[in-house]
Amino acid sequence: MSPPFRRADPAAQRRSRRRLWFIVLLVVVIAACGMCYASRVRRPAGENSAIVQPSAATAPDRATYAQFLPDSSRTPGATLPVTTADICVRGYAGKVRDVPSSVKRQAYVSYGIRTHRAHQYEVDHLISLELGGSNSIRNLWPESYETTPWNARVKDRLENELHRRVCAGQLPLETAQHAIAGDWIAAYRRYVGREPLPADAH
Amino acid sequence: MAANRKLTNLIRGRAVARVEAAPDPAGGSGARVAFDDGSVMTVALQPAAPLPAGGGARVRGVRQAGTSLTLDLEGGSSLAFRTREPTSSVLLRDARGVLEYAD
Repeated sequence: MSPPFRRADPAAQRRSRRRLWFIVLLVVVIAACGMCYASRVRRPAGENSAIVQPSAATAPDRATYAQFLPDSSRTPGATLPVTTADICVRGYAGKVRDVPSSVKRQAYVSYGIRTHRAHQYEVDHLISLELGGSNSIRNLWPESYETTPWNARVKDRLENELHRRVCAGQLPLETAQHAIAGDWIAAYRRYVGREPLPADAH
Repeated sequence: MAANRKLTNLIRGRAVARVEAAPDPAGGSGARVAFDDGSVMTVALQPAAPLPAGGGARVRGVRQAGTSLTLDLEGGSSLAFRTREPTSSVLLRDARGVLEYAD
């Protein structure tokens, strides 16, 4: 004789259903986070654009300082067709035209900054002029002077160090350009070699 | 249109030897302006932008606004270019290939 059919406990069924919904929700959230991260690091292929993906080793950590990086879709980085010999001449940056005010305004607008105080931001060349970066809007972003620990003055230290290494023959120009365009904070840690000190930020 | 003093100071007095089409290193269309002293200015142009004709006259000044770049020449003529971008489109090298100007 077969055992009588036993209905499952309704409370247990509810618990089981809740658990299932929780798992589905978790999967959706993880997938959304993954897509969001991928869209931040993907760079459109464009003329002279620096196309860089952060390495797997830096990617998880990147989320902790992403607010200090430019939006890679707006500012992928762009370079001039110049060589190491060009940029390592004293006074090179002075040969490059100043960024027109209209282009600076465009950089602020593209980041949604309508007003700002004097000396609050610098319209920064993501790939610095000294590393062959261009004045293209694709290489410009408003970088704060005021955030800590990462800000425009800290990035200047990295730019100087990369320029020194390139001109000393220790680093190919293209490598330096890709490093600073891809993730300037990771590049700072790699090439300057320590976290910024409070004095570096002023 | 505002004067581009930096470029004006460099090429004022140089005579335009020829203007010819030249591919932009980044892959688009471009112009190559050769001067009588052997220097060469490359200009990245907007797609289908016309190439100005001219040669022989000396540069009197340079004006630039947005994507318009104009070389004013002695005698009243001019060379007008539609640059690919408001910036990052013009490069000038002297006869030895040394960079003189980039925008």
